[in-house]
Amino acid sequence: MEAGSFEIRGEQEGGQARLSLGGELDLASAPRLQRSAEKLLEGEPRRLVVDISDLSFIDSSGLRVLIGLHERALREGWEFRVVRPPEQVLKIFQISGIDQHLRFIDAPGAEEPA
Amino acid sequence: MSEPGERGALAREREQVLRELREALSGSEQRLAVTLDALGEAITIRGEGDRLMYANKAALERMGVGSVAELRKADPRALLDPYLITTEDGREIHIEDLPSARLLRGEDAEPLLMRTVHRASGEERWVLLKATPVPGPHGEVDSAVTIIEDLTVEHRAAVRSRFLARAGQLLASSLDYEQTLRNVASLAVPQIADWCSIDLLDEHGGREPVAIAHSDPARLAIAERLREFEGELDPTRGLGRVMATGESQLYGEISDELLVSAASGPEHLELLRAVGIRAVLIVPLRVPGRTVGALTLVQSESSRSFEEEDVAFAEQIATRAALAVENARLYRERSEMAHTLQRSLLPDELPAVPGWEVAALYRPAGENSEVGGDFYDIWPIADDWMVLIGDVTGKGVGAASLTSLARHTAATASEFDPRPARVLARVDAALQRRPPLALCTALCMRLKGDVVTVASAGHPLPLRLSPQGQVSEIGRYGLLLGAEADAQRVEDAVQMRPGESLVVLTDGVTDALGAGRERYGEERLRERLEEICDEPPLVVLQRIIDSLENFQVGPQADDTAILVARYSGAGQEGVAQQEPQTAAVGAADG
Repeated sequence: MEAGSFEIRGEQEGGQARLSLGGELDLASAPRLQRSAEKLLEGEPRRLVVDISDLSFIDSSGLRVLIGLHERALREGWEFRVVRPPEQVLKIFQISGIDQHLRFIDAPGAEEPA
Repeated sequence: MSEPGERGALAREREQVLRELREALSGSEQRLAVTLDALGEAITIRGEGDRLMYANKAALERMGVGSVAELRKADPRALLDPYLITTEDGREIHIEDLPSARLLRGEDAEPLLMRTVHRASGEERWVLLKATPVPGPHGEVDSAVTIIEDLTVEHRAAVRSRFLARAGQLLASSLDYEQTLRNVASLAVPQIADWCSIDLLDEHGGREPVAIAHSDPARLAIAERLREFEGELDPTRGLGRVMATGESQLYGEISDELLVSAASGPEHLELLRAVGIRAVLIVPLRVPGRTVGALTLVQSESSRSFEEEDVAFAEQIATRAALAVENARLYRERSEMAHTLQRSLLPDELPAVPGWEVAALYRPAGENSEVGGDFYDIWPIADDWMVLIGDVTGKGVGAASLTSLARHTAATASEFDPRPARVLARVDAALQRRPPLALCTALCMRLKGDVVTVASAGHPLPLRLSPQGQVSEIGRYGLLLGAEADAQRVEDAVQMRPGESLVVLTDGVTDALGAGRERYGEERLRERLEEICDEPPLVVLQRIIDSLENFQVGPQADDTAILVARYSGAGQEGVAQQEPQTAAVGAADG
């Protein structure tokens, strides 16, 4: 099967790390998110933002990586935030119940949702 | 004016010059002959009546003629008689087709590549003929010089490397090794041999004929009839010996006595003679440690024989074929194991649920030999029925063990407390003890008369279909299992009216990929369900699958489980009177 497109970009400034994702986060691309996140976390940021506002699809493998990061943040005491995805992707978060546990923000620089 | 004495002197001088010229010419003729004889290429000159006027040493040797004088006397056709001469594609070549003969007829003549097989010895050669016209005094072609280049080595190498490349592609192309071996056998005829057959050893050490090929399908009938005379493999001779020892056998010369001794009776002997076997080469299909079969090459009507280098070549083909067979068999075994394991994770058949009609289907992902992570189950607790459907992240044995854990924990938990949210909480607790991050979505329902109680753990909610075409979700979302300890899930109870159905499924349905990487999605599913809302569960199931298959592009990427339950409201007595309308369809036999 033809793989879906997936883009990931990481940046770090001061104690702030950010990953911007685009395309399809699925079984094929989830390991890339995992690796990129681990690399950024080596710099021990205070806060990691994963921007999924340009994601067109997510499956359980993608959710699994985000849940893993969420748990690790709780364990290690840093902030983990996810920029709210488009409607059809948000639906997957809602079905899985994770939307009640992850901290969504409206834009990468934004603080807690109003 | 000249003196007579001068005239005489002039004449003498001319004679002298002519004599010297003759000598010089005859010397050059000899030098030319010596030069031509030293050449490796065979050279002939053909003249009037297609007769050969000259041949150098190499050409004389090739034709088996003692001298040029003998050659000149010979009938040119008779010189070709000992050979079967064909083009590359097997068309027979006659004297008129030779480039030299064409030039003599005033035609153009392209170089000609031909195969000659010496009828008596079976020796095969590939030669390239290039002819040049020699004009006579009046400009017409009165003879033609032919240079005959022996390309046997080059041609065989080219044919073989082509064959190996193509056979390699074929063998790697499919896991259906029987068909692949048949294709390889067909590819071998007639270039490599006149017949090619492949036999495998079955698990009891018996012969399993897989492929037999001949370029002329009519001749295959003989092979079919010969099969009837084949008995047990004899480990001391022929195929049986190759299978037993793992060593190749070359029968360079098949004598009639050999056929007589091999034949089981007159009819068998007649058939063997009809094949016209000239030489047989049997090589083992070997993988490390054992022989899985054998490849047999037979030369018959082409009169070819086999040489030592043919053995090495055939062994090369056989090694590749053996590996392909072994890989395909291993894959098949693994597939069967996966399917067996998968079946153990699904109910053997759905029980008859009083007041309900139930149908369910599990479809593993396409061309996959791993155990998938989808599961469903339905079981009774007192007078109620529990329904569970779920999806474990991942595949393979790890996923299978989580599936098994989830199913059995749910069944046990429901004995103590059949409330769906409680059942899920117990499964959640069991998964929390599994490292690292064992995630699973699940939907648990309890059917109690016409009341359905539902709780979801990260799983798509049940869709309720009314016979009037309304499609609506029941229940509410809850956190998937294994993510966070002590997550709270809420359960909802709804009352079903007779004729209403519940459809529960895994995300393999909605995530299915169509053209342009579009997903099947919930919208499409709902639209489809609206059209089929008053159909019985088995039909609803089939329509969903049809719709998915129409939509889907490429192989099915994920496992899919679907369960449809329709409330008939008939109650206990009703069910007792009718056929159980329950069906488990096609549990994992892709």
